[in-house]
Amino acid sequence: MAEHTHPDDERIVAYLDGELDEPGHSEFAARLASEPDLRARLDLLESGGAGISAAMESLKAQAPKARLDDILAQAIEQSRDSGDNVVPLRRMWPQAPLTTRQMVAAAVALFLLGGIANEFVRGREAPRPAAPVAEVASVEDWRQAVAEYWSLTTPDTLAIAPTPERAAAELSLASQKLGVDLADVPEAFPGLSFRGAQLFDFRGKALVQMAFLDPEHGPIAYCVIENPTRAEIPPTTETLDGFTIVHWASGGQSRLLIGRAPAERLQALAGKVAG
Amino acid sequence: MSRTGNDAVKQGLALHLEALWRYGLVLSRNRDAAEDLVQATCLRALERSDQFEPGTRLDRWLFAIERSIWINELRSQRVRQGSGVVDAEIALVFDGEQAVETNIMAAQVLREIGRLAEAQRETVLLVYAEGFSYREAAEFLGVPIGTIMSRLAAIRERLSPLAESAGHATPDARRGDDG
Repeated sequence: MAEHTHPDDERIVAYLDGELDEPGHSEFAARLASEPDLRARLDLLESGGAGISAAMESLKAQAPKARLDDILAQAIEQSRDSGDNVVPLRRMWPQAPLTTRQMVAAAVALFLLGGIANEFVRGREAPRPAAPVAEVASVEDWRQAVAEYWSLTTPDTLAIAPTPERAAAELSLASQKLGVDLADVPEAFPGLSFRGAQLFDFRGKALVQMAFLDPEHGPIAYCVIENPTRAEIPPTTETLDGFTIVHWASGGQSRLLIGRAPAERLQALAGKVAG
Repeated sequence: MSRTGNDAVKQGLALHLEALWRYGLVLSRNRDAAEDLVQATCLRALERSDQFEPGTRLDRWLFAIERSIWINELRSQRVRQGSGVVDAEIALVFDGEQAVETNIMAAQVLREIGRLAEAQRETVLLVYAEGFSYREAAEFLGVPIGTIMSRLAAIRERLSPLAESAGHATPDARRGDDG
């Protein structure tokens, strides 16, 4: 395509598009009044731009809206499944039946954990030096992240109990990563059936989630995360996203119990492991 | 920051799907590729949502992701598959009959735009449909402002015979909205 067919083309479009600042705009307007050729060229370029906005709008109007909404919904679902940053928790070994992609991801995760690296626990991003304010914020909203993740868990998800060997291996690994002995936790909760421990990275901190099935109230999780502030918080009950949560902090860890169970039930369970 | 950025992306994506699709169509001139681009952009944006800074423009951030996916991944793939140059004349008026019925002028303009080089198609979309200033477009595309201006002048010149034949008495070259 021929370009620069008129020496003033660039100034003309800038003038038409309101891109000339003063005094450029006034100067150009004065030239237009006294230079018929320039005026004619401007008219031509102005007419050439006439239909563009409308044409672009009509193009947008033809977007397949329903299909695009589906595409977005699937993308949200997929990014949840793959455990990427949508919920800032990373799955170590999923409880649900695995897709091939998840199998590969889980195998890689287990391999990394078996090795020397704590790279995975620290996440793929380099650990950021946390400002005190950010530190407090992340301690606060780990419960929100757990609640979002736990909302994906159903009794079906927890249908299969791990073998005793697998359960012991998971608890041992989780204990090692967190620096806290969790081996006896399942026995501490009478009436609950242990369904496996998962290790996550939450903003560079190890987070362990132990899943249980309560015959009466369905899935209940007991979660423990490192808490570098070493704050001491007594057991506190709250409701988040429709879940009951009892949380507390002591000895360098924050802990919580979460489920769709009455507060009394979770408070009683907390009594078994708190303090 | 990561959680608020995350929420902003999740909630905001739905508002920009059609604009992302249009940009994808203008880049690829192919409807399937446009949908692929939207899908890949959604996934990438969700993965990287902690990098989005709330308070900045989400649409610009999404366009940048989409463009990078197009340039680094899809475009070369389509060229390898020999599909990079098909459809050039018809692609932007994929639903030709309907478009012609509703607006002959729009259909003709789209056909002409569809024949332009990729860099020109992109420039016209960003400035005249998405409301980018020259400076913003130049920064986004990584070219001097003068290049933006000469591209727009060339496009306007090329489209001017259409306006004459359509007998447009009141030329209207205003920008698209900022949406």
